[in-house]
Amino acid sequence: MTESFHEWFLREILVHERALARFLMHVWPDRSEVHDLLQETLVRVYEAAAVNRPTAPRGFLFATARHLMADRVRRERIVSIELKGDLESLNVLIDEISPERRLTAREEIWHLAEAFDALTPEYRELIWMMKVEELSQQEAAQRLGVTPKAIERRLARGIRQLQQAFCSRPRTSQSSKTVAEDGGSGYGQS
Amino acid sequence: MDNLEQTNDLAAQWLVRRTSARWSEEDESTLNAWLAASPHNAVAFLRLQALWREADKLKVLGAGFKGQPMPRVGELKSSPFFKHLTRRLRRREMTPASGRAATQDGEHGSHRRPRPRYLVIAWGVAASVVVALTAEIGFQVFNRGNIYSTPVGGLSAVPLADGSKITLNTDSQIRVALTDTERQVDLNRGEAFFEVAPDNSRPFVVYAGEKRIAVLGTKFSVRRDRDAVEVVVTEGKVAVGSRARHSDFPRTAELTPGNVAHAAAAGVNVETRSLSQAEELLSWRSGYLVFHETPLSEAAAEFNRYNLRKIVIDDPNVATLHVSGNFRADNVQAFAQLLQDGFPVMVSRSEDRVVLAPLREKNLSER
Repeated sequence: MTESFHEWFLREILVHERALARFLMHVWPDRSEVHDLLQETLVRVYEAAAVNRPTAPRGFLFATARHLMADRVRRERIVSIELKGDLESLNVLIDEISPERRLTAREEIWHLAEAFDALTPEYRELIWMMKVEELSQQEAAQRLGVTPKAIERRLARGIRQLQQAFCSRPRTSQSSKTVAEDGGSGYGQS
Repeated sequence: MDNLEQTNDLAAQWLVRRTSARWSEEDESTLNAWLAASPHNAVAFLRLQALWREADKLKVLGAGFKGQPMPRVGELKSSPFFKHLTRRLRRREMTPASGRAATQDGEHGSHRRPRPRYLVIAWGVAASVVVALTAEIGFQVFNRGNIYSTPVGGLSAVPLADGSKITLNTDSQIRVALTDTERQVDLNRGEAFFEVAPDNSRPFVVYAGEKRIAVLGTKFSVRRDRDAVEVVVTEGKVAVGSRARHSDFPRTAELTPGNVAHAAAAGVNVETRSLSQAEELLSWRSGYLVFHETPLSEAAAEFNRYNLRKIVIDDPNVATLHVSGNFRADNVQAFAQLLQDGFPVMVSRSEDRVVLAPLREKNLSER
């Protein structure tokens, strides 16, 4: 696992994560499974690319997602007219989806602001300190009057909550406020 | 999937720990072992890492909030940054309760930003007409006083014996001379913020090249780029005039809080802004640069004042892109990264420069 492979993965694959999430939301009937599908797709791409990096990463990513969905449909005998129709047109969709449906940078930041606003206040405050005021964890701990260890815990939960709000749920808002305030392991997907 | 959630939670903990001060080489190898143990681990970690980098873009929205309390929920979306965003997106978000999002003022929600009022004070500088403030100074002190300076990227506080305080910005130099009749500061180059202790018997006078800035007790900043002088006032009254003493044209510009004066050879141009906008110009005192739809060329010039690694813009189209945000003045890296993420700009870095070039069509289609 060289550093450069991970950098490559970040740059060429994960930049499309949100586009892929939107795509999956669009075509997969059960939204609660989308996060899982997304992760599974990324893992498959990761494994394949570790051996041999694809020359057209974006296309490869979407094709992998399509294969994965087809597998699941077969395996689980999901019969969904709606989905089937979509799956068959996926070849076209995948190519068409790229430039047109890509959000502008401004729109992405809008969604980021949305996700940020959906955070529990204590996470929101901490992430603001880290990202906008660029405080170190230590500085944040001092300002908030808590131990560095507590900051670590809070930040880890905050990042997870941000992920839930930003990546798993690109179309809805509000609902992430119900995520357990004290963190714990309660990051269920709603 | 519980398993997936657990992996993600663990990955988040690793990510956070890795940026903490206590991170050791031993931790690094434990992390590497964890990443190598399963592609699920690696993917979860990398996804969070990507997200965390993405969150850097919050900086773009930070303009106008630094030093203020953190924006309330919904306030970010009224940032001027979103001015041109499509209606569709906004409408989806607008609920009756968040009507505030409709105000134009993205900063604080409470007041509307006044349109800058320009008040140009014509100021002849032909040889015959010398602009002057007939001042109470009898003579100029040249070879006296203490010299204070800062290197590129420096920021330092200079307390004076009279209780006043001067904050020196990057690459700046002043000479200070306190006498019984006057407190005199020469701004030889750069920028300084003055908090002047009141003393009616000894006016506080700042000379910036040919400009003379006189005050009694107040807070203001003076920035000098060769002959161009900018004065920002946040408290009290300040008079900007010419250094020359003899004149039959004794006109000066009087500045009050919120005023921003640009003085050049041709005259003084006074803008009236809100106090919070004026204070934003002074955000350098806490190490930040704030831009509102600022042309990239200007933003780059600002960064270059603070850093030895200079931003170089290779193309006129890139130079005229507009940027917004709240940035750490010494973090060119973060700024360049955001540009690369958000604009059709290609960033190439070398030891002493960061070159911004237009992204070619071919590259664009791959992003």
